[in-house]
Amino acid sequence: MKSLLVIALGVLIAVPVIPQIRDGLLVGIVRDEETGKPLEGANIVVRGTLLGAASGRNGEFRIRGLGQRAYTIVVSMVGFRPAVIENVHASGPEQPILEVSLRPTLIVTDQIVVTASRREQELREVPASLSVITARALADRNIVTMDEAMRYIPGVTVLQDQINIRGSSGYSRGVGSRVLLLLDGLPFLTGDTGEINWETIPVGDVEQVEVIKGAGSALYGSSALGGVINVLTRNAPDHAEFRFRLYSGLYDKPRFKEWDWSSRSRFQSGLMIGYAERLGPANVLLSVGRSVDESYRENDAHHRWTVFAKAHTDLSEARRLSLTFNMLKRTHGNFFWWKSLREATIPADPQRNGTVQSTRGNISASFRETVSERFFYVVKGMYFGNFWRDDSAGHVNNVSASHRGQTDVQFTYATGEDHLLTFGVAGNGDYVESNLFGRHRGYGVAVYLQDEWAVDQSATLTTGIRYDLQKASTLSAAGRLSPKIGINVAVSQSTTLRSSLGAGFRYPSIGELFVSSAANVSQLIILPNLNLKPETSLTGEVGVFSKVSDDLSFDVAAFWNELANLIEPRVFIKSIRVSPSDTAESNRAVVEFENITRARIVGAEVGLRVSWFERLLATDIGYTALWPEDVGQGTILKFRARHTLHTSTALTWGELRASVDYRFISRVDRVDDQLIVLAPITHGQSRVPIHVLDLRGSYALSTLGLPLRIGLNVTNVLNYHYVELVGNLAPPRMYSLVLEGAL
Amino acid sequence: MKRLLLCSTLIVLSASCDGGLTLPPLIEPALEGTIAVVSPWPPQDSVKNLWLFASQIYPVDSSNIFVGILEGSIIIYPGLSLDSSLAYNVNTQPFHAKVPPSTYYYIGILARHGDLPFDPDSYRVVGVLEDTTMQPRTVVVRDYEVVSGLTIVVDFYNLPPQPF
Repeated sequence: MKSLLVIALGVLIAVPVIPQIRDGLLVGIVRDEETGKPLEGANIVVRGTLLGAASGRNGEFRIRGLGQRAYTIVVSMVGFRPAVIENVHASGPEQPILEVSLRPTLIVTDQIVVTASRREQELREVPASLSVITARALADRNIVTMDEAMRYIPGVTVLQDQINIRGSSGYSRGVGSRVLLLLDGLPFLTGDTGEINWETIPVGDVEQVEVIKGAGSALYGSSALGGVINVLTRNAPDHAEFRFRLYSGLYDKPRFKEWDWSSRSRFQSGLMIGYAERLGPANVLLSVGRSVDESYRENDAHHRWTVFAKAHTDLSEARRLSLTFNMLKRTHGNFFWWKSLREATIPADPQRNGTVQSTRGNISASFRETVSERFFYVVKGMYFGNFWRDDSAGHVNNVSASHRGQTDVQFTYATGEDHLLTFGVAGNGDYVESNLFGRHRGYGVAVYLQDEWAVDQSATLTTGIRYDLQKASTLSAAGRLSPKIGINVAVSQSTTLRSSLGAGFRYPSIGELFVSSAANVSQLIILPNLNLKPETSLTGEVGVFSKVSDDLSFDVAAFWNELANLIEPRVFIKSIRVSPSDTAESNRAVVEFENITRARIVGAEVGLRVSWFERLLATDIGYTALWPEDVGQGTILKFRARHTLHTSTALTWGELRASVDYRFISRVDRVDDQLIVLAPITHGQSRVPIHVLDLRGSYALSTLGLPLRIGLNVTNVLNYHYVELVGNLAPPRMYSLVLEGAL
Repeated sequence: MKRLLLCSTLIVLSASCDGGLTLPPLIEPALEGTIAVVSPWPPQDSVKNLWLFASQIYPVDSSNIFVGILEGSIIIYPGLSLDSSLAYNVNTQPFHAKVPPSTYYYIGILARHGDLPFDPDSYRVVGVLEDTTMQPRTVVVRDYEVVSGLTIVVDFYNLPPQPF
């Protein structure tokens, strides 16, 4: 604790004398070059400063705080080629408004991202691999829960709901995620099991999702072993807006009548309605959603209600306060695994009557002040509550309530022309009450510091370090130091080299430490393990990005990840007293989380973007090869695929948008044999390579004067049957119709 | 580039036209293996019956063995009757015992030596399926699966620990 205070004091003392904001104001308007229409939502970044803005409904933007010198600004927007405008001066009374025109394109390479360095920067400046999912991609694919979107990212696989970036994660029923999920920059993992709950993410109100591949603990702390996902929600527009989205999908019949368990067709449908308005000084949006997924499997239906509200107010040109409320209420069946492959859509007998009811949600606040073009700070806070219980035939089995509060105070300061410092403090507190995990409190504090040094015009060296101190219940506090270093070199205007080395770690969750349960629907007895140590990782990457022409760009990366003390569930036979009233011990199948594995993952990733047929079509191809080695046992790691291939070809022709997505995942070499034997999961070893082909098309009815877009999606077109997770048949072909509109 | 697109499409279609997972054959779950007698056989009139048993209960004692047999948590092969028995005086014999899917913690060979069928003292376990630590081996039998390759060693003159 003493060392933590020393570091915290050091960081705070390092806060420089803050330069005062200058008066220079830049006013501009962004238009579509082809139609001349104003563009709302374009990102404007002033290069070499920390200033930026987004264009409003009339395409207009205002950036205050500029000096008298000339600036270079970058204007970007999804679906358009970015514009770089040099020699821009702040507008005076006699200065004209800056006019910026963006050319439409299908190839997007120069996006603005915020996760890699906790500030707005161009994607090509990032010294690590980073993928972006846009709001349009989410809408076009009719994404209902965010884990579905993750399946389209090269190098990422999803085992039911547990995400695996470049082989970092196996499967532990979601418990203890090795990928850190952020919601608007703050950790969004549950307080009890440290897992990602994808359904809580307000997909309909997401602006952008950024996925960093590789360790990110030097900036974000625990759980960022394999990567970081930052979900950025959209702000309310500065005008009244009504939006809706209605969809309905039908599951096709499986190939075998033995899997057709229901006498009627099974549907998935939903409605989201959102309204935004300017109320006094604040822009406010409210969305309410209802969705029902009857599922293609018995006892697997999902019923969800979602509410999302966000308000922001600009207290001045440089100060913004945002408040967010987000809630999910759902009920779903408890389908753990199939009865057998012959009855692949029916759960194992003990799970047939089980349901899970949960209420989850967060309240967040964020305040940002841009003090000058060289300094801004952000204060964020969030409460995240998770309440769930599972029932079996009317009998309540397990109940859990977890409360997590967290805060982050970040300062970003550009010292002169060369150095950009980002530093801050973060803290969290947890309280868990559950018959599974007991009653526990947890605390954590952290300090972090990052320096981005512009070595010369073409090279930037990024170094960073973070110290975390975490205490769970009555266990001793544990501290971790996470350093990183990265370099980004622009060898030409079109080619950038990058290299990085960073540490990651993850504290065991309260769930992994204290879980204790008698046999339930999974038929396994789960035992606590108070001796768990934090997992650690060290990730290295070398990559090159090149934009060969306006129609062709590629990205190649080689990476290496060394992981130690990996916590995995171990299933084995143990002689125990099942209940305190038992007089004698008996042999039972039990599960215990243990520090089992030391692993090394070596791999390469190739990405290619090309447009053709006079830019009518754009194709993205991503291939990832992995060698995931369990160093401790001299075998391949469980639940990792060695080869993944993602391709996506999109067509934009007038008001028509269409795309074809294909993904291939090689057959997983190794699964958890003990789990299959002892659970037991009949035919649990059955698995095949994965081939999934999706087709989608949508048409805007604006030509008919209607503010509507209608779309048709067909997922798993080949009706290919596969499992991502043992004993869980993936969805068959599905047809869905989507209607969305905005007024 | 057009060729690349064409080739990619062909690869996708050809690789995925097999449809993926298929139905496994309909198989009755069973334990399968060999009983190996490594000692001389006792006189035939001293072994009234010889059965293979597979118990979902462990440890087994005289208080729960009969209940277990009646409830079906202890399976007797080739049949639960005084007329059925494994072959006598055969040093190696295969078995294929149909059992309900479950976890079996105690599998072995039971011999009836006495004349009183409901007296535990009439029975002796003469062989046990063991793991590498010489403890009873746990075997999980799932639906539609036969667990094969089991070898149960019987030594009439060096009996394993008796449950009762």
